[in-house]
Amino acid sequence: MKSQRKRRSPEQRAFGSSKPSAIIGVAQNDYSRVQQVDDLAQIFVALQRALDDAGLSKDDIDGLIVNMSPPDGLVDMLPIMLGLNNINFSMQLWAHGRMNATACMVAATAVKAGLARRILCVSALTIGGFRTVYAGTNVGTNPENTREGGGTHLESPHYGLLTPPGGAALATRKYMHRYGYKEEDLFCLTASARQWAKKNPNSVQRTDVDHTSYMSSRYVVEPMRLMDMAILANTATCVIVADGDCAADTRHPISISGMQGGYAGREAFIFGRGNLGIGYQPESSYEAPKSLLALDMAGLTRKDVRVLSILNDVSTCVPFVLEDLGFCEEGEALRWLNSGVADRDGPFINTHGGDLSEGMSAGWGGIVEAVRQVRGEAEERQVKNVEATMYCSLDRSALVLMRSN
Amino acid sequence: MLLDQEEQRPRPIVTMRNARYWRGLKAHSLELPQCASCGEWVWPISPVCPHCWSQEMMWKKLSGRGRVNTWTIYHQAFHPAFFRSIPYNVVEVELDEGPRLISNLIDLDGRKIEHGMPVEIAFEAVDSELTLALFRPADAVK
Repeated sequence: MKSQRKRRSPEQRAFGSSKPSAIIGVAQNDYSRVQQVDDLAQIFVALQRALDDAGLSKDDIDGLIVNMSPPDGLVDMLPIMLGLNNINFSMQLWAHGRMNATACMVAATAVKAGLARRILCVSALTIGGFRTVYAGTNVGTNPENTREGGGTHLESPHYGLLTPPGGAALATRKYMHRYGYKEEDLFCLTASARQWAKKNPNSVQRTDVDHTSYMSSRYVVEPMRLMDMAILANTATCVIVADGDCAADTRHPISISGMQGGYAGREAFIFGRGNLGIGYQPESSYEAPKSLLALDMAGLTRKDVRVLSILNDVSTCVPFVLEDLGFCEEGEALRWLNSGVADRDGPFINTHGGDLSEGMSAGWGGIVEAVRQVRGEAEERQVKNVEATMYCSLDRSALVLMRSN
Repeated sequence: MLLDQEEQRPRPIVTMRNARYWRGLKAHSLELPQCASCGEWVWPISPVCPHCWSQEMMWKKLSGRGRVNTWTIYHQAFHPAFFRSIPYNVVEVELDEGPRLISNLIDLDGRKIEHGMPVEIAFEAVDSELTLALFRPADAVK
């Protein structure tokens, strides 16, 4: 007897939409500074809001990418504990900010390939979690701190080089020395973040800062002060990425019009710039690519980007990324930022206040902001005439977002 | 200054890849693998030379001399072993042979750390098993 092949429904057949993948829902929890929270409860808040934002219910989600670490942030447990019952594409990424643009582009690519229709990308960070991983007796055995050749930020616990800002301080000192900057030149980074954060109701750090209060802020790892560190907070972010056809039926889809993956290799240093000359990097001049893959894909140039979100776990990530991606010439980014041009004429940088002032989300808040700015939903901090926004992580990975047609 | 804490400082994880390095320090010899084929230093330690893909390594003794490439001063202790040490320095030394090491500078006698400051190795035994590679200014009184 001939077996009857079951016809696929139109929805099942729509593998590989011809339209660009899109972000259809974004949300955060209410950022807080309380000492103990349940990270899953925070994710639940963000998840409900992201589904509302997209106009979906939880059963519409069929893919999951988790950018968190154990014990809770595991892709096998989250669906069980949160009742996500239709997950057929799942992926685990180590909790590291530089992996969040990549998380979104993997989601965009997977839906494009028909592996899933609507993928939820999740991240959550808590103050309690930071205190466990980055301070206290556990830090000496944190796997990131004990690997061959030092941690990602050169962590070497036996010499007291602990926590990511330690590596950032080494890079910042090297940069200041090579290009002729003083400690006070760093002030503009905090000042700009605070000005934007004041206009963001979800930001946890909204007080004004002047030059005197910055310079009298205590050092954490010289030359970097407390104000140069991202403010620890309990943050959770959900970003829902869908294929172009699914996206068309939602309230306010934003196309992922361009993307580029992260560089890994000897030339890089995570909290520095290419060829800066620390860790295993060569010390030599640095020339950014003439054009960026993510912008080429979108048919844009750097000048078309009105809003730039840049992951800034520490303040100097911003000048390093601006140089790494060729928005500024080698060694010039901090002078350009000090000139105030960016805050006056754009590209406007970290209009949510960044990790530095909104709260430490390892860059996820920057992705949410890039979506809101291009949607025109950034309220008091909305930049005019935004056609394209860009999110940049620390490894040259980036997303370009534009309104879907 | 760094080694008299009540709380034990974190220890490096000794593995089959790096055991030779730590054995060298214990014997007051700074040794790193050098590629037997192309002569490049293989740092961080790897079973293969990333420059020419040879797997033949020779462990060679280095001079222990270098210069301060960059540094920071920790004003906050992120591990209890360092509570009594703050403020303490962490330096990256670029050895005359090229590789860079994370370390601490001792015997500064009130001097400020500077870029390019010439330094030399100071082997500091933590206990019978572990010796660290610290550095001191090349012209410091020993």
